[in-house]
Amino acid sequence: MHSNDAQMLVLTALADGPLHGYAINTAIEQLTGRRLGPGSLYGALTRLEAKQLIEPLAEEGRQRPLRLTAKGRAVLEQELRTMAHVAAVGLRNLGARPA
Amino acid sequence: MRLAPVVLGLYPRPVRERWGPDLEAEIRAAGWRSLPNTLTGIADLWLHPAIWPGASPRQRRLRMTTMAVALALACWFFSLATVELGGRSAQAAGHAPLMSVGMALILAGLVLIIPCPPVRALAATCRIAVTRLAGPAALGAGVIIAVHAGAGSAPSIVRAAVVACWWTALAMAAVQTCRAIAAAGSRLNPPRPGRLRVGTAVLTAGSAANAATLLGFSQRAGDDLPATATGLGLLGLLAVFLLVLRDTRHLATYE
Repeated sequence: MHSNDAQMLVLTALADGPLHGYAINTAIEQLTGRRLGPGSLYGALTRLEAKQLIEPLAEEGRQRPLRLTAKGRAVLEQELRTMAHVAAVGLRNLGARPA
Repeated sequence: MRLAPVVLGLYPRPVRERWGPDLEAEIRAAGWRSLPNTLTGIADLWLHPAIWPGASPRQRRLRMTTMAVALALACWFFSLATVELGGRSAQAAGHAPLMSVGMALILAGLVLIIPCPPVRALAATCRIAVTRLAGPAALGAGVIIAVHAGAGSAPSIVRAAVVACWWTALAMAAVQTCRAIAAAGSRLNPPRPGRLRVGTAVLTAGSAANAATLLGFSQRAGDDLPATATGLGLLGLLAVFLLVLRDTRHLATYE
């Protein structure tokens, strides 16, 4: 999984608690400044569900919220630690201070 | 976007059933500018049936098997039609040993991956197969009867109609075979992941052999548009075969 791909963004959005599809994209917009296209968002959701990293909850009206599974939480944590390490090394090599 | 329900209808059914209202709202909100992204996503999902929602590991393998069978039958049909109906170079390609190897590999791959019903479901599966294949079988039998009744010496328009019926029967049989596998679904035992991987690899090799033969002969003989077009089309199918092959390696991730 690449740090900037749609699946990573979806997992990060869901780390704060269950959300439905539209709310996930709104959280991603707040995080990155732009929404994912429907193709990217639902491709990512479909793949993450197939890998059992997210799971659907009972329907709320016509919408179906999603949440991270324990496996999804573990994968996200591992990825974020890797990204944090890469970011720290990169900033140190640039002589920049961490934000 | 007014066309949101139409665009939603292009998604595979399991995807629509899982994300329907949310997905439609997202397409509507995203508007026309996101249409290329949406269409790319739709194509991507059609090319990866293994990840469609709501499926057991068995269903995922069955979906991939159906896709591999569909690709193999498309490869077989277009190769055969080009060799039989195409120009001189296509006919020469039909006699090439590499084309025979390609067809044999496609047959072997199909034997490896074709899903089998358990004994208790044999009768029900046969009923589905007979229902689906009755139309093309009847059309094919009609053509054979017509040829034996002397259609070969009939006016050219009649001969052309008989030939068109024959190829229509073959195309219908290929399509209906895939539909029969999909309809029999839960009654069938799909191949295990290892067997599916080997079978798909064999089918990929067969498709590559046919594409190489047609393209090689069409280049050697100069302009033979049908052979070149079919060869390029088979290269396209080869790319999809490679995607299926890659997905078979990830099957364990979904189980």
